[in-house]
Amino acid sequence: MIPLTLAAAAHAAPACSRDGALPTGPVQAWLWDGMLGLAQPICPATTVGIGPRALLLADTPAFYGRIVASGTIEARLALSERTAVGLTMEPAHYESTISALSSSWFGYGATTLTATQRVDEGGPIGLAMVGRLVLPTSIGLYGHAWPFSADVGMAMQAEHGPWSAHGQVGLAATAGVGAGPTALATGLPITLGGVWRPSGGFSTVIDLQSSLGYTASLDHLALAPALRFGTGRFGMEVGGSIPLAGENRTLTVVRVGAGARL
Amino acid sequence: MLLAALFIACKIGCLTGTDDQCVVPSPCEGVAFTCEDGGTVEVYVLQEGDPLPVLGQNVLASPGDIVLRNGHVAAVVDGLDHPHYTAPTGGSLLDLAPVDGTDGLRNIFQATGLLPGDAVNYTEVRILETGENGVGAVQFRGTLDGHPDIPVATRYEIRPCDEGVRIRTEVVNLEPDPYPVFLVDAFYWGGREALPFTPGPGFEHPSFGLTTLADALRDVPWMATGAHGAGAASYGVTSCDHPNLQGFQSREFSAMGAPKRILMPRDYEVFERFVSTDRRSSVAGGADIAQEVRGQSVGSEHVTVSGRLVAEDGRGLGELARASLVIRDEEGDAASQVVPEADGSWHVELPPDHDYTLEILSYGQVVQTSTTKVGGAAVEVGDLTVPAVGELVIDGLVDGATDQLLVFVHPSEQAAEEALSAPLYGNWDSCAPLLGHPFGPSPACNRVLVNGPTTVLVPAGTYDLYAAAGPFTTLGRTDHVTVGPGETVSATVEVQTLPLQPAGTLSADFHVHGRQSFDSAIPDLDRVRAFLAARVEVVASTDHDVVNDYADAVRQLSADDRMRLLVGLETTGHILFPLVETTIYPKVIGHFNFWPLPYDPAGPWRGAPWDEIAEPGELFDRVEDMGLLPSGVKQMNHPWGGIQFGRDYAWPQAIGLDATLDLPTEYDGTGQGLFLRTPPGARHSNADFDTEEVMNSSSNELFQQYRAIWHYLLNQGIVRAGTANSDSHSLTDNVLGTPRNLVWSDTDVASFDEPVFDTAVRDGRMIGTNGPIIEVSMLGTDGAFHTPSVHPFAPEPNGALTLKVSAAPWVPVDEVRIIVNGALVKTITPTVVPADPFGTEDLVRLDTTLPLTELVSGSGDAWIVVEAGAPLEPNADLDCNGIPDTGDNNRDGTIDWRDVEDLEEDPGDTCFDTVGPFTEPPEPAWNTPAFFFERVTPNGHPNAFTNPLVLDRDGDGGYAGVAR
Repeated sequence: MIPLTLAAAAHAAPACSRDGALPTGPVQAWLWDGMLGLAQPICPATTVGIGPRALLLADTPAFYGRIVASGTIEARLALSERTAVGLTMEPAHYESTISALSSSWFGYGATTLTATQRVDEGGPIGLAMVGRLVLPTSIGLYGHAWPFSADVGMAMQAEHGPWSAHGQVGLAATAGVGAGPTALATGLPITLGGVWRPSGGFSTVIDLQSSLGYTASLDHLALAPALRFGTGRFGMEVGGSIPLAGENRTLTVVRVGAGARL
Repeated sequence: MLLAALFIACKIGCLTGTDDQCVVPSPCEGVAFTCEDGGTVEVYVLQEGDPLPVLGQNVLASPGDIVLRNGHVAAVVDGLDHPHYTAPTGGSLLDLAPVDGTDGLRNIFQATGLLPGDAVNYTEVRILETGENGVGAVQFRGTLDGHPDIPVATRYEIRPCDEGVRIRTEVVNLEPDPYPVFLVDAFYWGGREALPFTPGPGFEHPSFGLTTLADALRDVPWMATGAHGAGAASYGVTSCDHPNLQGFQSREFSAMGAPKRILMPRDYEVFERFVSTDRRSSVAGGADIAQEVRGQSVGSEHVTVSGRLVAEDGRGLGELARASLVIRDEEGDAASQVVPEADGSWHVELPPDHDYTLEILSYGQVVQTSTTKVGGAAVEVGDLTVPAVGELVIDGLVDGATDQLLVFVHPSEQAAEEALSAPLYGNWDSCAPLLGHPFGPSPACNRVLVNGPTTVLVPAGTYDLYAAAGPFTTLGRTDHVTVGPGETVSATVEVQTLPLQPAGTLSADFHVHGRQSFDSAIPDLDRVRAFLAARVEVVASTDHDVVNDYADAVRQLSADDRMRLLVGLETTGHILFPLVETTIYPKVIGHFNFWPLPYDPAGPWRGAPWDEIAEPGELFDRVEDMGLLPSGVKQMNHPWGGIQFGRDYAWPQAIGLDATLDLPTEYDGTGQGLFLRTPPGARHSNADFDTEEVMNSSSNELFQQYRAIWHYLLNQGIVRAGTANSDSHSLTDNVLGTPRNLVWSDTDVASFDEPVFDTAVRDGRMIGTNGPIIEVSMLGTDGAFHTPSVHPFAPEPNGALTLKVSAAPWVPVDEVRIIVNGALVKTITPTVVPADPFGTEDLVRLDTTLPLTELVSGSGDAWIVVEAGAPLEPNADLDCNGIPDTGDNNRDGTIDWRDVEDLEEDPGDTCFDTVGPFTEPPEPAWNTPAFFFERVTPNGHPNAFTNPLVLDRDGDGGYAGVAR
């Protein structure tokens, strides 16, 4: 796939050359709290956005279910044409575990810091080093544990006419701080996807999200579709993630993101 | 390095979940008890031959269990391979009592939720401290039963002056998903012993179902038990590390623990608590200690309030029913409960700065109240008067001689009965009068065991005394016995044996419980006295999940020559497991009785096998491996109806048996297919039981369902003997021997041959009855007269059914029913009606012959059962499974959706998903024959059935069922 992409690149526009508020890059619907392991867009931009997210897990034979509903506020700041940092806060996080005796909680969720640094030469294939730090700010949801998570990776994006491709491979890790278990978990999240953008105001995306080794040999292999809309400075994505294989018991995640490019 | 240090530092206890050498920290560090001698403590593993560290009939300790004791209390934690009740492994607190007290505990086990997988599966035990350092501690480690990535560790600890046990449990979530944790101690009360009490609701707690249990959760500062009818210890629990406990209460279970919450991955929950015990049976016993612990751990305050009850007649103080105090605050919330000592003195610990109302209860009724203001200092309330009561001296004569008799004390007038009717602290059925704990020793409810003049205190009033020594005696009545306050009145009830019991029969009850059962509080001595009072000659002791032998009580009562004991067992599924492939709901297999079994007085479960997580065939193997003889009996109990905390009582109901469908001969993955299956690796099939109950309990309310199952199996060619048993757990729930079996066998009490007797039982040579006696026979082609049994015979084609029905004059027999292949083919109304229910005449109600050709048509094999007694209420099968389920509850002459309690509108289907309830016959009018029967058979109606006459009419030498 990469040689084909390189060949096509000879006739492609430079990565991140498109203007407009239409979101670019991977689908922003995540399976793990704090967006851990989620592939990032590589194009630096200064944006603000909000969006609700819902997660549903139902394991009927085990009499277990999980519902998460949250709202995020995010801001990205392009420090230069090649560098961006981001902050995502989750001021509303509702968590419910459903069993013979259910429990629920509502409060402030995770806080996530991101960084993107392009490392390509500005050609049609963009490459960036990306990183993310998830801070345990869900005070009250975690009684005694303080899990810190981080992921680093290499992301790419290439555009050719109405089509673009993107991907990311990296390393994710979580460890607990406190009297409880450290329980270091490390995994290999891999995302591949493509976008079809027939106009400046609409695009459709399909990603394949996967992870290996974080909690199982195959954590998940998920299909993540999305529809994107944009006008002027404003853009919106309606996306989801549906695990098709792996140990992750989540049925689906749905996320709506709306943002403005500043 | 700093980062690594952050992640590694601060690890304590077993909270990492992965440290094999971890030690759970000592619980309740801020709590200290003092005692005069400083005290000692020891922890050890109970060995063969060691004396039991705890006394009482609830004790189940056996070699391999772990003992923790000091000079005040002794506790036993069951060994890993000795699990009890709902716990999948050992590690539960099994016995606990003051060293001078009596154990009243069934068990306390840890769990984190309601599902089977939420129970703790301990795999490792380690004695941490043996007591030499002033601390005794044992630690158990394992995981949740259904979650191997959720480690659990529990430390039980005792210190020299502790009046209980300190416990700390740690749970860690190493799963990738959040887990709904509700870390609790589950207290198994059993349903008929101690009552849980919490400040606020007191003894009265919201009812709930499994789907509404979350609504029943309450936050409380402590929980304690009280009202133990057998004088056993009381218990209390309070948390040392949470401001309150959260939990629910019921008569069967209480669960008390840390507030439920979501346990995120890598998070842990810790619960420290102190379980106290006191020799007083009052709530105050366990609660006072719990409040002391709370004072030390969370700083709550309490003051001592004391006083003295003075009985106007000087009688009976110290007895639960005679007088007790319930103390309420100014909001009406219950604060504590106490039974005074014999000298009337009492004391409780109460939160300060309240105005309290002291309610004095006597025989279930509030007879006086007093208020007292409690500030910050101890309060001496002074003397409070308890009204005088009467004293009845009851004697019982059987055939003119003093003998064991169960006397029922009833108010003479209906209005008085209603006025006196009271439940014990709002729990269980009402008694009129409430002479004692309804499930404890005599006097229990309104029943008194007498053997010679027996004194019992009663509320002043006028009473009728009734007694019958089983169904083959007259009904004795001494009526309008008036006893005033402070008076003593003597009364004698006389009964006379009637010539009713057929020659060659033994009267037997194959389903009887005593205090070793988790749901019984009747001491062995009273249990055996009840055997004798009922004139039951053969009794199977079938306690839940333990083998019990009443031999000591039989010897003490010199009853060896009057009765025979079959030492047995009732297996009771507690742990739900995946049984039926076609449903996601886990099940248990219902209850089965087995006898005879060897009794091991010191062994685990006293000789019973572990009876959980097994299909019946596997269970039969396990019981055989524990010594059930080939001549022994396996009985399927109460084969329909009843479910408690998601656990079916009945095997056919657990598998969803459909009596409109044939039983698959090969396992097809359905519940129906389980019935005949031989589980993989088992020696027995699931259908290898010998007998099944057709009548159970004195009220016999599910008879029509039980017989429907029996008839269905007979038609399927599964011929099992039908039995009739009391399932008595006390003097009150069911009268022992009502119903009972009359077994025709070639042995007697004097020269009892158990294998011969059991063979007769398995052969079905018996009838079941709570009064009527049915004798039937039919001539065979072999020239012999055949009586009921499971063995087919070829009937003389032009022969007849010889039928004789007898009964004591106080047992109405309004109809006799002839059942052929499950269908009612003939109903006869006996014309003999006794003129005097208290007399000795008119015993034979029907004596006739019925031509076989009038009863059985066609030429195929058939079976005949005869029933006699009261007419049966019409009930219909609205869910179309072949088992009746709903009666004409609105009495409009039709059974339809309008009779279904939980239906608001017509569901529009032919077969309903929601059905019930049954219709019970109306309460008999006072002073009618049925009323007199009911006076000694509460909620009961006369009924009897024969085992089948199995007719081989096609001449193939056998019986393979009846074609549909």
